Amino acid sequence: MSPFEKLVQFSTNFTFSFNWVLKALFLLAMLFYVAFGVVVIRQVSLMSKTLEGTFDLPIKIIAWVHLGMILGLLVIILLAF
Amino acid sequence: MKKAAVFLFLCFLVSLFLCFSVLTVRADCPETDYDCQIAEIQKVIDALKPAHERNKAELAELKTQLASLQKKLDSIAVKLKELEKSIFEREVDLAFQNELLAVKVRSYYIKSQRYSPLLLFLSSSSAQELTRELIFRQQAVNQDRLMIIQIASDLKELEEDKVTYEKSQVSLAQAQKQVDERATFLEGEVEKVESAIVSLTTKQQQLLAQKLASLNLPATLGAGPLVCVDDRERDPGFRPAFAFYTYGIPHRVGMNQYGAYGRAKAGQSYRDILNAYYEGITIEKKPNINIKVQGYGEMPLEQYLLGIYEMPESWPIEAQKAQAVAARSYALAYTDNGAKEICTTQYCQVYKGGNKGGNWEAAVKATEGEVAVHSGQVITAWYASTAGGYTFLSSDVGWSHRPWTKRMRDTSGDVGNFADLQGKAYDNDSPCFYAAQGWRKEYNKSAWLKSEEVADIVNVLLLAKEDPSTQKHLPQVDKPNPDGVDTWDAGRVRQELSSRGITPFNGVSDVSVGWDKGLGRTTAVTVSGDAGTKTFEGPEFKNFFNLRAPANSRCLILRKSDKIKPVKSKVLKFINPMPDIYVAKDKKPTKPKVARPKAIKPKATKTETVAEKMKLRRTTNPLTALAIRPKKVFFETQEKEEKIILLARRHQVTNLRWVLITIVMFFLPWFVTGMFPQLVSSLSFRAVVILTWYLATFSYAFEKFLKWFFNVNIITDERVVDIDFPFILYRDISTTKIDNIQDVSAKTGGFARALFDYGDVHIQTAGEQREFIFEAVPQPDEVIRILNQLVLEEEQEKLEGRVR
Repeated sequence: MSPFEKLVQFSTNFTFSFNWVLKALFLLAMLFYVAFGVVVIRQVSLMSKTLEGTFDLPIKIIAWVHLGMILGLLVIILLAF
Repeated sequence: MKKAAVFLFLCFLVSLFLCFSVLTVRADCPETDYDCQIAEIQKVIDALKPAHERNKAELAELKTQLASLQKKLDSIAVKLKELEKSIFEREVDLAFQNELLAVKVRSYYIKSQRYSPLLLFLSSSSAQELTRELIFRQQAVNQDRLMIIQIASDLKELEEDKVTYEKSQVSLAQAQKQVDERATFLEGEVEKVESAIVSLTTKQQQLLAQKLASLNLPATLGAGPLVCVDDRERDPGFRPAFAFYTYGIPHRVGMNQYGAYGRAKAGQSYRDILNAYYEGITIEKKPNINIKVQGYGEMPLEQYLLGIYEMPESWPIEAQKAQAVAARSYALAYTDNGAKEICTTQYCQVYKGGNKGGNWEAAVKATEGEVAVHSGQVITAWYASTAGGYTFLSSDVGWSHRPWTKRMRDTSGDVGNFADLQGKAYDNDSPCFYAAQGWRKEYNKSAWLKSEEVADIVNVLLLAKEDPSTQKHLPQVDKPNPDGVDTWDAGRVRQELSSRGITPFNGVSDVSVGWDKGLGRTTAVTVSGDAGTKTFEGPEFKNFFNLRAPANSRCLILRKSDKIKPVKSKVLKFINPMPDIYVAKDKKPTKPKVARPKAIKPKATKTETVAEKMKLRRTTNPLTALAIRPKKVFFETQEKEEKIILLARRHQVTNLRWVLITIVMFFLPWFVTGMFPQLVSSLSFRAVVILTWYLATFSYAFEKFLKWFFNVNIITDERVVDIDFPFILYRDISTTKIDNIQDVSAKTGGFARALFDYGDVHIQTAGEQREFIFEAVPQPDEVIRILNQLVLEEEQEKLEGRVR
């Protein structure tokens, strides 16, 4: 089958799926969310530098866990539906 | 005369031009090099004054000439007026004469035509009659002709006079205008010179004030016990030694509190005391109105007075009564009879609430309602701790003139020398009556200076006078140069002087002071040494001493806080305090003749003192909203030796809103899926949505927590720091020094704030940022107490010269 024929077959077999659109929107939103997670880490770093204290480490860990969870969710969305 | 006036006028203009040309020449003084600018200004003033005097003399001369011209113009105007009147009268006459002339001309013509000699000859009956008739007719014609000539001549003269009059009128108006213009111009020019001198003097005072704004001296006794070190009792360990002293602190206007103490001990009544310190006052009774007291709300004046802490309890009752009347007058005048709020710090009057009791309560009650009144107005009764034997007019220290202030020698007898002053001054019991300010730890914590150090100060003064552009290189060598240029050490200053043909001093052997015993001001300082004898004016010596003296030595403390309004004692301006110069050579400094009544207690470091006084405990909980001396907490701009006294966040209760929102967000999916089970049919999609939701909830809560945790207000032993993160990745750090704090107040209100004891603390400062607000911090009263303690300790440290 020539590539042109493949394209024609794909076009004729393609069906519009609402799930695909939803997934794309979720992925787009997650990209922004990942950016936010990174900004939070930068923010925590700046804050900890401004005010050093005994609670810095837990906060930094929480910020990294937060970013990890966002990335995890991104993977789940990629794999799910 | 007119030419002479114009010539003089031109001379005046040229002199003005030259004068201003000189004045506008300025050295390049950096903005912060106050002494350089001051020296420049002083030079300008010195240059202006003689020129100004010359201008004034020339103006007076020109004025005389202009007056003479004016007189002449007036005389001409009068003559012109007479001429005008005469012309008018003559015009009226001539109107009649014109008619007469017409008649005469007609009659002359008729007579000359009608009565021919031939006809007369024929009609005459006799020769005699003919002769008589001919003579008569000839005379009549001649008379007509003469009259015609006369009238024509008058008419011509009148026309000429009218032309002259009109020309003279125009000339007179022009001359008058010119004279007026010149007089106005001259007045304006002299006014300009006058105002130039005034503005420069003000600027000079501002610059002095700016330079010395950071110095703090306790103004009144409300600021706490006076602490001044008497270095005459300390041996610096070297000879010869020189120390520079000043009498009294700080502004010397109004009632002298230690003077009141001395007068009361000498048997004077409080009325005598008040009349001694305030000019032309009467004591009158005023009703007990309500006044607004900052942080305490509204209360009756007499109740407010009971909580004033401005005089020690042990002092004689008459002194306390004088203080009570002064404080009452001050409060009434300051609040404008209750319209305005009065602060509770030494910037107004120290008020601590409640009733001080004892002698003070007795004094307030004994003088109930009594105030000092001048010309029907309750006076702003300024007072200060120690006048040093002389009080000044408010205008002497740069404040606006108040007729109730006075220049006075505050002694029990005549003063012929310093010993008289020390023995007879009413305030000689004050520990700050006679003191040197500043110290160096390596010389037994004293302000004694070595001979070569005094020589260096004198050399600096000589160099600055010779070449003002060098001033930025001449501040003290042991501190960073404020202008960022290199500071010249003693050797370099000597070298620069030599290169300018001036013999520098290597050592000083004697220093003496000339002073005005009537006014209590230093007039001259004479220094003798290996380079001869030099005499300087008191103020210039003082300025350069304060500029160059090592460590924090200052012989003549000048201070003005220009960041607060000129009220009462805290605002001090440049004055000429009267220094004595004590010289000790090859022997231990002699003991003082006047006993110092108060020993100086050794003082612990500030942090410990605050902690001990307030019985604070160190906080270890990192999530607390009010941490006292928190452990292992540092902020980015913290100095090495700086200690955090207090760290405050918003009260935890203020987090309730976002915590509740988080809880609602947490339960919302359960609620939604319970209510609408078929909303999302796909299990995987539902899982993703719920996971996203919980993650967003967590993000929201975490962000809110970060904002609460890191938005902090910090009080250290040196400053107040406000760290704020208004938006993501946006940071705002503001700081102000403790000695910039002018006023602290707390605002609480509302159910939650009252229940959980939190509120806003407002800190008014003299810094760039006028107000610091600690929002919703727990225990605002405690925060204020700590701040007040720090402010007081900062001032004490400055007094003792222990400021970092």
